[in-house]
Amino acid sequence: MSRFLAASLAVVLLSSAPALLPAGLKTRGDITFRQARASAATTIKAPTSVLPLARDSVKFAVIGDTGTGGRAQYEVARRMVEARSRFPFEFAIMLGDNMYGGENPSDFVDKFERPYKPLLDAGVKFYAALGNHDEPAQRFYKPFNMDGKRYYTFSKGDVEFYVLDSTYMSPAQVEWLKKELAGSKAKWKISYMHHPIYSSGERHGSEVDLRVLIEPLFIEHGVGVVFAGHEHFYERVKPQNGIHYITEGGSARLRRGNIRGHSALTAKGFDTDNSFMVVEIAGDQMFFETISRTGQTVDSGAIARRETPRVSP
Amino acid sequence: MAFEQNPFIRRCYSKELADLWPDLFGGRTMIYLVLALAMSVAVPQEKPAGPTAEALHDFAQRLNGYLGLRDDLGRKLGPLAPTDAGQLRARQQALAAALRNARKNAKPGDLIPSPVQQLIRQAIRADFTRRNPADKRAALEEVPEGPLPRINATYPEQAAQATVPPLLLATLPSLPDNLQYRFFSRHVVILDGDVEIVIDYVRNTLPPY
Repeated sequence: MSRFLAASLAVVLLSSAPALLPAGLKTRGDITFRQARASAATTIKAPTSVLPLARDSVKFAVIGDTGTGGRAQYEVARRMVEARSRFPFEFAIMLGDNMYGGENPSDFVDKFERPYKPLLDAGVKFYAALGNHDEPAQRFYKPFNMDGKRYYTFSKGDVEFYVLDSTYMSPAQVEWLKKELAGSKAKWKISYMHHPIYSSGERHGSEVDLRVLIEPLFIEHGVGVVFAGHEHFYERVKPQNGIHYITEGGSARLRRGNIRGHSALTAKGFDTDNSFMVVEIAGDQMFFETISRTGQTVDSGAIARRETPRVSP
Repeated sequence: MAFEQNPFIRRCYSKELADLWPDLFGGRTMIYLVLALAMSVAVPQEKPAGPTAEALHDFAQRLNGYLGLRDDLGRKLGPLAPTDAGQLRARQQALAAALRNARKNAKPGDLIPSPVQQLIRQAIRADFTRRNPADKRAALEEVPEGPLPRINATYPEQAAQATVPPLLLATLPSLPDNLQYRFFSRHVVILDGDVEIVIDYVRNTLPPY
């Protein structure tokens, strides 16, 4: 019976994976892992991973709206540790709302240091963006690797990350972003911030002001992927102006059923459980898997690198 | 400088963006109005003469004075570098206490002179008049409720920091880095982000929500 259940689950999961993989892409073999929710002893087959685990690729995890210190955060964190055993990501990006409520030293322990301790101990670095529940002073909290800045860049291999403070998008920050993007020769340009500029969330929705100000810069300078949080669910938006927008704000909190039905924006949505992402950038492809709190892969695929548009003379 | 020549404004008024603005404000004519306002208050150094420029200059001087005070007090506590949560909190609290002590007699309006308060009110009124109801609701939905702010009070720890819409932010008099406009109830406060304390405010500026 349990074998039948496992096989059925695998079929369901495999059939739910989007058809983003380029034809002929080789995938890794099946991987087994434990599914905590159904039964602690049940081992099910995970869907075939799209992650190529290429040598010298850039591997990272994506979490958003994490700082509750609650049970769901810890469960997702455990799932991240589990995922890392098969996919050794080197760092994690945090999409803001890193601390809900108090920001006393004990809060940093309960809402960050303890849940992610196995990852921190293993040398995984976290790069945080500020959310609307975060005090700007977090930029001086060393484990967030913000180097005292509200907005900043960092590079990993061929990838340059542009971390924005969308809670206070001052003209100075817009100018900074323009300058940084214009001066970059990175093959991949990825930005992340707390507020999504495209979203099907009923609670918040798209941040149109932000879109007006910064999307033209993304378009002009070849930013290919933009991650955001704020909405407490996962949503991969259909490409907008050639850019892939992904919201992952459900790594601790959950706004169940909050993705508007029949939204024209949604390519894939998941708002029935918490989740996080693992991402691998290898050459001109960005591979990703979105994994739920219970260990199911709820979305996966590959995104091709976006070329920086050439300026016509 | 004509406003078409201002790089920030030019970007806001690119062809692609012009298509988006009516979603927010409902008319192209209004774009010129808001951009003209942006020019009048966001680029004070371009207009050295006139009462508005003088008021903005005065405002900048007062803020510089505040930052000078903060720097002096901060130096006594030692340099701030990325650190652990305990040291960060201790330094933040020590600096906040020192600032409160140094500014214990501060009153509303000490940092934001009256003419600049008027500019802020006008910018907010103009911005919210142009927003459609859904957008207005989105801008105000996470504004924390509470009594009238007090100078030197800590921003409520449990409250989200309501995000000032970026296009509005572009029309408000600019602030030095890490002094931030925030909405609180119907008021606009200037928050010192390093210590999370209210350093001045303009009361009753936001529309009812």
